[in-house]
Amino acid sequence: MKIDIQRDAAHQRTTFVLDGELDVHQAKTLKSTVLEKLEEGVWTYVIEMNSVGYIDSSGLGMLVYLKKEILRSQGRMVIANPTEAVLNVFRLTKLNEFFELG
Amino acid sequence: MPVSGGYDIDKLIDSAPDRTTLVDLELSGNPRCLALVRRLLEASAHSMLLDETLLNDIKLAVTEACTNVIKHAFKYDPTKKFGVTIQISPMLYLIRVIYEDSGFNPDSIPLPDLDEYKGGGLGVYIMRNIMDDVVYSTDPPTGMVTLRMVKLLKPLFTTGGPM
Repeated sequence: MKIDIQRDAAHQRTTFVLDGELDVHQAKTLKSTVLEKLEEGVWTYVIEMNSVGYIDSSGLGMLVYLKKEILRSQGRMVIANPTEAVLNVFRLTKLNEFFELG
Repeated sequence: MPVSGGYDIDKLIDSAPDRTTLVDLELSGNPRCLALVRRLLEASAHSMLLDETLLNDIKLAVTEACTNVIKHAFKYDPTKKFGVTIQISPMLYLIRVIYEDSGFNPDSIPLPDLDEYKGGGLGVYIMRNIMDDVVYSTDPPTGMVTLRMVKLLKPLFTTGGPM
């Protein structure tokens, strides 16, 4: 999975643009990439999922973990533009109610 | 007797006109194989003209099943091997995942609490929700586990009820 990182210091926002499939193999890459970029202060971390056509329970578990880590560092995590395939898995597991979708 | 929507799944499998195993794979405990399996499932679905929703369900269920083997039974050991077979008939898509896990007890699979989700434990829940039939069977003397998953491909009801 390709992850493009866009850091906007003026608005304290970092966007991770994911491209690929989020399974057990790729979840570890996402974890290390996001955790490396966590900053002091009230930052917003956007997980852009417009180009993620597939997610499974390992990917979901990683997103849950990242949201908790970000909250612990006083930040906020937003999942932007999930595809229909990803949204279906969120709904199936009720995680659409847990995540902030944008 | 596994029943889905009023159907005896065992009977449906036995009465399928073509019971040939189309795919018989040996996979390793390396999670990189999961994306390859999904590509294969896409190809099989396209050749059967399955719609996108069905394909997504099958891809998700098979990946969850294989992930459980790699993660829990094999602990990511790439030297270990497991099997995946696929049979497709006009009425059903049948997948079997066969692996060794002498400590596995299907009755011990926990149900995730979706209201207080803490991560993990969702794989079997997802499989059971998107497939029409999910059955684990074990052979204690050999430690072999077979997971059978079925997706029904067509509405089977006629005006007279189940065929």
